[in-house]
Order: sequence, then C-alpha cells, then structure tokens
Amino acid sequence: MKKLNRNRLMDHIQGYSFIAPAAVILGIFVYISVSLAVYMSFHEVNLFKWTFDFIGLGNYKRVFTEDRIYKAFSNTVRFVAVVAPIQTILALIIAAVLNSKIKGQKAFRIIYFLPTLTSSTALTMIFMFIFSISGPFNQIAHNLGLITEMKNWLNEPKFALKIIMAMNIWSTVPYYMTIYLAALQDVPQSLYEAAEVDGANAFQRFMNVTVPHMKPITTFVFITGIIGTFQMFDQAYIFSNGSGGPQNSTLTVALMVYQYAFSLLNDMGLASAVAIILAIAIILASLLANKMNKSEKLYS
Amino acid sequence: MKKILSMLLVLALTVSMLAACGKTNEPATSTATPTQAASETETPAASTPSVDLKGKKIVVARWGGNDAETAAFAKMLEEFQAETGIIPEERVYTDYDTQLKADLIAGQAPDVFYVDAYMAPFYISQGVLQELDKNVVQADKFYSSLIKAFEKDGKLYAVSKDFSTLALYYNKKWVKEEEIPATQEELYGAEFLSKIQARLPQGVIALTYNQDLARLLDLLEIDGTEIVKDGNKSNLGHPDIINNMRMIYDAAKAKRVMTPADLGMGWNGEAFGNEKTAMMIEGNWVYGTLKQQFPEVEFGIVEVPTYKGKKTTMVFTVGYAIGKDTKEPEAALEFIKFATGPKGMTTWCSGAGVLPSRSDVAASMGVDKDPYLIPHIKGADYAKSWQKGDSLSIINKEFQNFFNAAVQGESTLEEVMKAAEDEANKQIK
Repeated sequence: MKKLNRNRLMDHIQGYSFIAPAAVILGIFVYISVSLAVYMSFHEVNLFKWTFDFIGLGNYKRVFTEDRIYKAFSNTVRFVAVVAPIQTILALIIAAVLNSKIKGQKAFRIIYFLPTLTSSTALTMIFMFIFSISGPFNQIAHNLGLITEMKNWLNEPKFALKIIMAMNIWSTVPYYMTIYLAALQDVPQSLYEAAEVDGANAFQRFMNVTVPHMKPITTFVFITGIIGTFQMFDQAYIFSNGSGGPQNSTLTVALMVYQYAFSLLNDMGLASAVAIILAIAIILASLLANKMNKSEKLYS
Repeated sequence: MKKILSMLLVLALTVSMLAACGKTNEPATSTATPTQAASETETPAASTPSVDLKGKKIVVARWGGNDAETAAFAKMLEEFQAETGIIPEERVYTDYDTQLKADLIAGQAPDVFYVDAYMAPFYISQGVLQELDKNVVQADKFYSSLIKAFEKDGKLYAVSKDFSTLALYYNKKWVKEEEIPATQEELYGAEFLSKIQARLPQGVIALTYNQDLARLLDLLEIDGTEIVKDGNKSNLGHPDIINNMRMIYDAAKAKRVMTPADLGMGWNGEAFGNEKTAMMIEGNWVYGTLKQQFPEVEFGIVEVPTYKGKKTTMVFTVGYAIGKDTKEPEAALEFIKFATGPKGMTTWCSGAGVLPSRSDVAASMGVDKDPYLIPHIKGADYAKSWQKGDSLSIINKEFQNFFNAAVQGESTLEEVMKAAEDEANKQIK
C-alpha cells in the first residue's frame, strides 16, 4: 500500500516535470505577455520613461474613432474576405485534381508545393519585381495591348493590396492543398465507384462525394486561413517599406500595431488596444466560419 | 532505476530553465522601479574616480554601410584601442532606430551609438541620451549648424561625426556642365529637360527626384514658412508650402522627372550608375558607390541650382551619443573624444569618403580642395538641416504615403498635401 502511494507520487512529479518546461515558456511568452498587453491597453504608456498613466477606455475609444485605424481594419477585412475563401476553394480543387490519377502526379505535387517553402520575404521581393515598372507584368500586358503605358503598379493604391492578395493566395494554397491531399486518401474509393454506377459525372462526384467528405478539413483550413490573413504583416511591411502606403492602401491591422508600438509613434497602449480588438475580431470570425460550415461532423 | 534517472534528468532540465528565466527576468523587474534603477546606475558613475580606463570594454552601435565605411570604421576602432587601451566592440543594427529603441527600453543599450540629426529631438525628449560637456568635446571646432543639430536648451547630447550635402550629379555622356541651368525653375522646366530627354535612349530619364521631405525641405521652406506648426504638427497644407512643391510636382506629373522606383531602381545612385538617369540630386555618400561599383560612368558634380534666387541644398549629419544607462561613461566619452577628434575623424572621413564636421580637419585633410567634393562642401554654408522637432518622421511618412496620388493625377496637389497634413496630425500627440 505504501509503495503504491510512493509510486503514484513519483508519477505525479514525473508528469509535472515533463510539463514544466513548456508551461514556463508559455507562461512567460504568452500568458504574461498577453496580460501585460491587456494592462497596457488601459494606459498611456511610455516605455522609455517607463510611465503608465491610467486612461480607462481612452485607447479603445481611439480605436473606434480614428480614420486611420478604421482604414486598417477595412483593408484587413477585405483582405480576409477575398483571400481566405479563395485559398480554401483553390486548395480543394487542386488537391482533388492531383488526387485523380493523372500522369506526373508526383511532379506536380512538388511543383505546387515549392512556393510554400520559399520565404515570404523573398516572394514579396519577386512579386514587387514582377509588378514594377520594368517588370514582366508591364511588358506582357503592354505587348498584348492591354495597357497603353508602363505603370508602376506598386505605387497604385487601387492595385497595391490586390497584388498582395494574389501573392498571398499563390503562396498559401499549396500548403492547404497538402492537407487536403492527405485527407483525400481517406475517402473510400467505393463511394466514387457507387456514384459512377449511379451515373454521376466527374463534377457531380466532386460536389457530392469529395466536398462533403472534406468538411472537417475545410473548417480547419478556412479557420487557419482566416487567422493567418487577419494577422498578415510581413508582406505589407516589405511591400510598403513599413509605411502602409501608397495612401494607406496596404495598411493592415498588424502593420499598424507595429507602427504604434515600435515606430516613432511610441504608443504601446494604443497598439495593445488595437491588438486586443484584432484578437476578438479573429475569435468572432472563426466562430462564425465554424458555424457556417456546421461543425466538424461528417454527417449531421 | 531507469525511471529515476530519467526523472532526475527532467528535473535538472527544469531547474536550469527556471534559473535561466529568472535571470532574464531580472532587468525587467528592476526597470519597473525607475527611480531605484536610476539611482543605482548613477551612484557608481558619480563616485568612480578617474582611474585608468585600460581594458574597459564599450559597445559602439552603428548601422551597416558600404565596404569603404566598414573598413574605415574598423580602422578607427583599432587606432582608438591602440591609443587608449579601451576595447571597443562593434554592434551593427540593420533596422537601426527600431532595434536601438528596443535595446534602450530593455536596458541593453550600447554605450555609444549613432544618432541621426533628425531623430535627435526624439531621443533627447525621451531622456535616453547623456549630456556632453561642450568644452570636453571641443564643440567650438565644429561647423556651428552641426552642433546645433544635437542641442536642446543649450545642452549638447551628441557630437557630429561627419556630414553630407546634396549636389547635382550629371552623366558627361549626355550632359555638358555649361548647359546646366543656374536655377531649379529652369532645371525642372519643360524646355531644358525635353532638350536632354531628346538625346537619351529609350528607358533613360533626364532627371530623377525623390518623394521624400528629406530632399525637399529646403525648397518647401524657402519662403520661411515652416513645415511644422504649433510645435510638432504638420503644416504641409499651407499655401506657401504647396506653392513651393508645385515645381517638382509639375515636372513629375508631366513625367519629365521620375523616382528611382519608377525606373525599377532602389535609389538614385543605382539609377545613375546603371545609366537609367542622366542627372540626379544626391548626397556625397553616392560618390564612393559610383567610383567603386560603376567606374565606367563618367560624371561631374555641381552645386544644386538656386531656387527663387537663393542658393539652397540639404545637409545631413549623424552624431555619436552616450546612452544614459551606460556603465562605462568615461570610456564612452573617451571614444567620442577620439572619434570626433582630429585623428579619428581623419581616419573615418578619408576612409569612408565623407565630409569632416570640424573645420580644422577639413583643412588638414584638404577636402576643401578636392574638385569633386567642393560642390558638397560649399553647400554646407547655405544648406538646411534635415531636422524639425520630434514628429518629422511621421510628417514625412504621410507625405510619402499620399504624394504619389497627386502625381498619378487622382487628386490635386492641394488635396494631397492637406490629406498628408491631416493624417500626420491625427497621429502626432
């Protein structure tokens, strides 16, 4: 009896000591940081002088009244609304195509997956070159007679965010495609055969067998996509050299948080408030997406 | 047995991790009580007798430069170490102000660091720079505008290490010196630029410009109206400022001049070196780049033409400052005295190809007789310093954000300048 107790105690100690490293790291870098951000969001903060002046909801009031912050949120929401659905749908379609028994399947998989392995910084530079005044986009469009004069597309507020959207879709689709490909291996072949016997064509088989079977995966992909796009920072930062220009057209919420926190604006309190609103927005959007896709069950 | 061993291992790991975390936490907790932290750092500094500084270590931070600058800096550090026995360690920041600010806040700041004149008011107002004794650093030997750039209420916070002014560079293949107009009104005018443009191959522009207030401040303020009002608010929407912007705006809108980005280039020097532009207005830092990377390009340099009948250009300077919390204030001061003294400055300026901030060094180096540098040196007499309160970078960021819309013809110049002003003023506290 006594021995058993001792063994159980040892088990407990062992368990906790295994958890400890992760708990400590998470505690410091996630939970303490998040609590500090919540604390700072209610204060006017100057980190140089280490002053925290309580201003209540002052920072939150600014979040909802300043045009620039509104612009950043509207840019981000537009970005999410375009990128997240398109990348999910494209990923599913490409995965389904690659899963059918076409020739050179493996080669295509590798080719499609490569963009995901490239760093987004490098990708941004490449896209900036493609759309720069002497880049290939101008020349092709010019040769085809689509445009009359060469333009620096990066400097056009109407196009800047769209270029980043295209780049983001292009570079994230392969990643989600891989997830779909893995899941597609689990769809019973017999279902397709049965559908074929019933006279369903390829499109019908895709819509009625593949898509419903992929529902849990779609939920996952869509929600990860939403979270990822809401937090988009690096591409906008490189694209605009940190300014969010031209004319705030590439100003995303994450980039604005960075500007307020670390750029000259030196306003950590407001940055924290914006970050917290962003977090709430992401949670709400994810819940909504989950609801729309009706749970993770295959058959309701 | 095996189990106990593995448990011990895990335990050891956890304890060591906790210990490491405890250590990194320390500076954070001590900064939480600023008064205490301040008094802690001040007392030893005040009570330390002026002992031998040999063997002391200091960290000197700078941003990365070209090869010539890196070599000159290394050489200067060597000389400094040989002369004083203090061991300097170099720290290079890539995203300079962001990284420096983070280090200052974290209490990990370098002992001595570069401060750009336009950032100086910000750092001074945050109280992170140590005041310097003007006599000790021989402030009277410097060009006075370069000392003023780092002053607040008569107190000096950094010492200028060199300076640069803008001048007009032209490619001798396409432009002759005698045909360059004496005024900027003519320089940006349709007549002169189309004459030059006619000789150029396709894809080459006659002159580049920059959508950057750092290059435009002297023009915008030529009437005496400042781009800053009420202390630190943007004043770009003022009619005088808009009028002075119009010359370059007209030229840009008519595509007589283009930015380096419009040409698919990173900056003026690259565009000029690759012969994408026949002329540019650029600082003397480009001189070394052209000589080293584009030796085949034959170019000449003249002073920037006049605007509204006045000689005008921009001057930029960077100084060395000492962090408030340095543990080696004396060694740090020794470094500044050396680097901005005759010997250190000569090594740095002759190696890096920059202009010395001290008139005595300028004379002893003979740079005031170098035909290429004369236009830049002359500029120092009438140049406007790139500095204006602690909000200049916000004002400039919003200008850059909006100005292109005017060039594209989407909004009028007035609308754009007003929008840039309003945007900036919303952010400036």
